[in-house]
Amino acid sequence: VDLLLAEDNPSDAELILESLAGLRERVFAVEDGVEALDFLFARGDFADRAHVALPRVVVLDVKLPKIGGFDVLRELRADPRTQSLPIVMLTSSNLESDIARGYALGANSYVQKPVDFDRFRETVRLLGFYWLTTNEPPPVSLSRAEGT
Amino acid sequence: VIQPIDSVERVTELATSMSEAFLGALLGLAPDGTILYWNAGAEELFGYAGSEVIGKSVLDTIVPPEHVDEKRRWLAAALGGGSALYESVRRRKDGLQICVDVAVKVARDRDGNEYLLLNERDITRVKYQRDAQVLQTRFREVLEAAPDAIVLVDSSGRITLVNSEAERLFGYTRGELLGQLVEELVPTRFHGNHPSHRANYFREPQTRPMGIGLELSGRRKDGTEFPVEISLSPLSIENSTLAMAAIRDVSPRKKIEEALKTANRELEAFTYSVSHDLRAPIRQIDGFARILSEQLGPEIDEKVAHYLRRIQDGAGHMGRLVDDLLNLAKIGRQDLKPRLVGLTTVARDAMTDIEADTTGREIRWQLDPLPTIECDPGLMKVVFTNLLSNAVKYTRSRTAAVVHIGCAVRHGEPTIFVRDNGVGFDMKYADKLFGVFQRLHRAEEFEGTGVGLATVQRIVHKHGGQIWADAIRDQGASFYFTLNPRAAERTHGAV
Repeated sequence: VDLLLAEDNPSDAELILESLAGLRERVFAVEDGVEALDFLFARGDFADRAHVALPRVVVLDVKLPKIGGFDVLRELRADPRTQSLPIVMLTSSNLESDIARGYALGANSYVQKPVDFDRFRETVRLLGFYWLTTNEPPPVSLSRAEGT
Repeated sequence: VIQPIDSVERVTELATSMSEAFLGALLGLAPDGTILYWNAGAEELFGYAGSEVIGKSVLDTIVPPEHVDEKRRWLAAALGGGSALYESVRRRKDGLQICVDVAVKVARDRDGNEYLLLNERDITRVKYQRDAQVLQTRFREVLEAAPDAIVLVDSSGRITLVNSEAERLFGYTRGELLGQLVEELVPTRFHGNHPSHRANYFREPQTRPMGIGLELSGRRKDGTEFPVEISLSPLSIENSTLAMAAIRDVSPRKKIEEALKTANRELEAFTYSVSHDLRAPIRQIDGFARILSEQLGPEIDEKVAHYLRRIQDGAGHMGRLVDDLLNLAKIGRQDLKPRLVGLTTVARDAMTDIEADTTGREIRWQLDPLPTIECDPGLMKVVFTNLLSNAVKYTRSRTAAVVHIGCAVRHGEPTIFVRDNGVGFDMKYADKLFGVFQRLHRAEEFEGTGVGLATVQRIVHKHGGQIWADAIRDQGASFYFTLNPRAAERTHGAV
């Protein structure tokens, strides 16, 4: 898994996966903040992932059930295993306060989901290709070694 | 059965109790004012125990410094004439000044030594009530005409006069207030510092609001409190200075401010929710309609394609509405960041942006020099962008569109205008022009959300300006606006 998508709205999740077309096999989708953290910290249902590498990027919605996107972000940044993991906030809101909060908590990128589907598809496609093919992820020693 | 009094001691005892009970404070003084006798009534009236003052001079204890000379004169007069009756001022141990009625008699002992016997009674309330009668005849009409509660206070902190509004506001009758310390009207928790504040005021009396930046409260007779605003002015009457406090109950305004704060908080929560949640379903409608039409491929039935397009058009329109509304709400909340701005540059920027979308159309732009005005450049760009894109939109049917941006002086104020030769509108509906969601043209003719001019109006109003329009159907429209950010600060300051 190279891209972890945390998106609670099934329709939005489907549209995102649809837009990621060729990258679909490399994406894993979870539906709330707890699942996202369990997946990344290999806990609970995801305990078997203990020796699997972290994804290259985590795409987080701001409004997630149970634990919200900003709180997930805060927990990931507080843990040495995930403090340099690339995180993209992908959300409907373009409120300045949300954008500022995302960066203040250490997000690597903030992307507003365009309402127009053509632009949405293009945005998500670019985002996927950039983080999965163009961007150089942090070295493994930085991300997982300390935790195991 | 009447018991005969059978001993001199008991008679003396009885006489003493009677004099304590009826006469109040009794003092015995040496001719130089040294206190020799001090009864229980004196202890009660002045707050000093006999042991604290016997052997000291009245001039160092209960006579305020400014009354020492007067006191000396009265003592001399009594010694000369055998007795005297007068009114004077005393200072109690706790510093409070009171008015007293004094009766002095001179007595001699067997050896011919003279003593002064004084009987003093507190007449503070009586005196203030009496003085108020005089003041009232002079100031009654002015005081009663004032919309505020008026309380006059003298330098000793006592209330010398009030108006009916003060009686109503604080729930006291005039008689209950006159002669009382003004602290009676102040919540107990502020009593500690209040006397020193008022002493400071009398040291440098001038017209000013009380407690700038503080939340002031008044206390009613029943102990309840209410928020007030107070302005103080000195008032010279004969040879004394009074402080005139004009007190206004601001609870109605506070209530409105609270309600407004709540409404603003709710609006913010609503905006946040709209921003997050309302966009998703629109995108989903648009997205799945698009995917569906792609799935159906090029062989798609004409009607099906038409319906899918309708769905997408609707979603697109809804998306623009949400964006425009959020933008309008944001402008309403945002603080003005005014600086001196050359409007010509702002207008040209907006013009350049719009020109990019008008390829294939013949538009004659005329941009006159515009003034440099104090305003928020970001928001002014929004104003010009909206007005110019409207001008471009409503001249679409013209083979040669003309858009003229200029400035005229009107009532001594620079007035910016944007004029076009488009379809105009019927002046009958001019009052609807700036309302949210109000449109004067059908959507098929001219697309739009009906939020643009509302946004423009909000920005102009935030700048303390006015906006209006005139038009003739089929001959064009002109929009005019003025800006006055200083006035905006004055009137919209807090909210």
